[in-house]
Amino acid sequence: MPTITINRKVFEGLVGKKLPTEKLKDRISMLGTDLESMGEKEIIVEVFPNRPDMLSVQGFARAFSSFIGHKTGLRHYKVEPSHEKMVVDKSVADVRPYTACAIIKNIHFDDEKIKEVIDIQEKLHITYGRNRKKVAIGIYPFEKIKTPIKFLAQNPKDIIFQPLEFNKEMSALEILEKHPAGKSYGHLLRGKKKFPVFRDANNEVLSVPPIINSHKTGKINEKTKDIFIECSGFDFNVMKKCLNMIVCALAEMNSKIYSMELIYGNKKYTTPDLRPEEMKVDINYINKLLGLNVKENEIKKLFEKMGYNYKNKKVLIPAYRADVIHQVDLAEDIAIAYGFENFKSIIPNVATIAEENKFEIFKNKVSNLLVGLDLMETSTYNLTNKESQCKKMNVDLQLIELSNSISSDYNILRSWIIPSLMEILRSNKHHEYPQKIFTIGTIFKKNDKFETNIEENERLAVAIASDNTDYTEIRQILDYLFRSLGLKYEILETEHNSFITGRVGRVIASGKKIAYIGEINPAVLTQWELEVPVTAFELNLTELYEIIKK
Amino acid sequence: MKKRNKIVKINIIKIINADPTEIGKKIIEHGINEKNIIDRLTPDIIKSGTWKNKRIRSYDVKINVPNISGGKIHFVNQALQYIKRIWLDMGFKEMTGTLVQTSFWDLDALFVPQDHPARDMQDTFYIKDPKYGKLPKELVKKVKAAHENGFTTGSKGWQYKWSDLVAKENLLRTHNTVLSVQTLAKLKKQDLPAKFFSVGKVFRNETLSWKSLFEFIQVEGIVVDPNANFMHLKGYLKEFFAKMGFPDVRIRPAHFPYTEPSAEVDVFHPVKNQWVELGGSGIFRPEVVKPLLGLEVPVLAWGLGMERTIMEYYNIKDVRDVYKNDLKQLRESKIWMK
Repeated sequence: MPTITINRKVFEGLVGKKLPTEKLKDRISMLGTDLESMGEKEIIVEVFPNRPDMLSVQGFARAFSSFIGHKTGLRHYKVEPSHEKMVVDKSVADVRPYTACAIIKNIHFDDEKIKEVIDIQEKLHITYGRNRKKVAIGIYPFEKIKTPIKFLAQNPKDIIFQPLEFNKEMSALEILEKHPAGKSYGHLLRGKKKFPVFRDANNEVLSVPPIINSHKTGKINEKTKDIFIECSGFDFNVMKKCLNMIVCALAEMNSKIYSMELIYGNKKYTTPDLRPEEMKVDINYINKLLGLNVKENEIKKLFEKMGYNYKNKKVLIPAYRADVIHQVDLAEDIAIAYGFENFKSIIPNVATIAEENKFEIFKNKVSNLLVGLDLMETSTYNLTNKESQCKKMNVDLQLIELSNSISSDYNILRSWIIPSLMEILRSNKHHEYPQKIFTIGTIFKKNDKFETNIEENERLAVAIASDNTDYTEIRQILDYLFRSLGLKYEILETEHNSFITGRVGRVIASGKKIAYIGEINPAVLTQWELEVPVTAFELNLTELYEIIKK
Repeated sequence: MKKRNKIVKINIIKIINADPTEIGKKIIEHGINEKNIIDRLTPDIIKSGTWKNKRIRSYDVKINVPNISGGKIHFVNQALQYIKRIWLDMGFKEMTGTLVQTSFWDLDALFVPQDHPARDMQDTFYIKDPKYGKLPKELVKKVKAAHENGFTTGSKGWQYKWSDLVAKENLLRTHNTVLSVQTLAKLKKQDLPAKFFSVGKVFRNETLSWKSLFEFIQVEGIVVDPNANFMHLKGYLKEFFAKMGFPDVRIRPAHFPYTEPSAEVDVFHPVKNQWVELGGSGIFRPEVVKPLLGLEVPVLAWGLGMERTIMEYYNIKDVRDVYKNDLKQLRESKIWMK
């Protein structure tokens, strides 16, 4: 999750109040941000993905100052009209249909501020912008641009300009292959017949979103006073929100926000629009959900601590908030303002009847029977590898593979359990024999009768490794288990490559094949580097339980 | 000499001398009459009564004996049975379900938008083949509506085009909240109030290391009660952790796409003398509950990690050792004494 690094001095200036370190630590974590580290000069906090508006020192300080009761209520940011125009050509409809724009004037840049602005842009790209897929943000020195600006889509071969931090002109196609930004984000445009491009009134390229700005018209430095900002993407509302988050953060740098006129064919819009959104709120709903009994005037104060205004059962939501979609979101902010630490712990007097899952009870009973026979229960992973399931067991099985496991030792779902026990025996060779172990676990098989097209069964596997273990010993365990469960079974001769021919049986109960039992083939033992005989069985407990229920 | 182990082989020999004590010498002088001492009591001796005239030889009862070991339930399962017991004692019903799930149940039904970073390939194990599962027909429409426009909850929803193909993708369940969702989908109004828990494996695509596992235990719980509120959430968690040996519980604001309010759960660790994060919790959003249950009811929910507590109890430092199945460790491990 995204973290922001905050200059403590800048932060305290913006908050307007200095708190002792311990108090600061406590308040940051109770505001709903995870404190990663607190230094003399820097604070690092993790901002949860629902609050992209807090991904800047300005946004974070704004929320924090309200929360501690210093500067509460809705912040007003003035927007003056610039009368500058952005003309959106209909050709962008297929590639990147929307943009929302603004101009910020009188921003006095220095190294620190340039860093802050680029930081806001990057954090928003990664989070709210979903790595530029959903929103891409461009920031340009306004002085170098001649308006009106056009947003259009062109054949990438015809878009030729000098990309940021490169010393020569190239086509948009070349940029995708050669420029680091092109390599990172090229997949968002590759294969498209036309690429989106911003051009100014001199037809000078400003940028190819979401990839890269022009070096000539798209690089801000300490001399930049006014900037042009655009957000581009696929949902106009998302563009507007993102723009609001940026301009409200920049406004906290003592700059001025100017709107732009967006011309979409015969439709006109003006952005940014910082008018707060209204939401009806039911105080009873909030009180009931939180277990509180707070009066209206108190609720009003709590809303103000979270940066809202409250009036006549309506809440005014700041234009930079993107996460309030239901009044339950307001309830959470009331809970934060009230203080999570101030909620009591109550166990209500509600009668409900407990119930343990019957199959789980059955599995425990089976385990207890085996423990009574001196068998040790083990706990094994569901994930394993093909070598363990097949090659080392001398069999070939259809396995279910994971598409993206980062570990080649654990990249398939097991289709039987005995290999897991063989692994345990191999890693315990240096310990005392006899070794008698068992495990109950899930196995996975393709079966389109199930919702996931995968069938899962619970199986019991038992293995004994000792100098003198034999078919009789393992069979006695199976026999004891069936007798204790009051079930009859028969064993048929069968073939199985993991077992010794002539010493392997197929166990049948109520006409269902539910287990294999036998002595493990010495070829398999050798594969597992084992030097003692092993006997084993594997029993389908899911099926067995079905039989018992009948 | 130890430094020269290639040239010199060290043999350590222990010599034990035994000399008779004063009493021993006297006994030897008197001569030992073997006929009047019984070494081992046998059925014949008991039946015939010959033991009455003889002495049974004394043993050194303080002597050490060789170790034996019996069968045992795996220590993790012992702990899990205790944890289950706690929830059962509080009137909760157990939920179970499959480990492979469709994204629909694991994420979509929980109102996690389809472009949410948590759905990234890197965190979640997806299945190669069969890549897709099936969707429940009626419920799909409601969940789709919840995402696109908030369904009938009064919410705006996430305002995007929901894809059923993305929802069909099979994965290994990332949290047991998937079981809570499936429980809600089956629950009827007349069953309320109701409380459920589950204890089971969940998966995360990580490499095995001393501090991370790719499959681990999660304890999940929900309370579906028209009168439930945020204070009850704190109450249930406090009760549970008190029984686990952590009387002090704290909640902090957090964020999960499916709960509002959302809270991180910390317990105060008496030995470490600090707060330790053990899970997430919250109240399910209306956009989660209404499509599943058909009505809006507060649903308290939590998902808690358990390996850390189990490791500490057994003094295990490397999380891989929890599932190492070292027989010596299993044979010698103490039982869960809570």
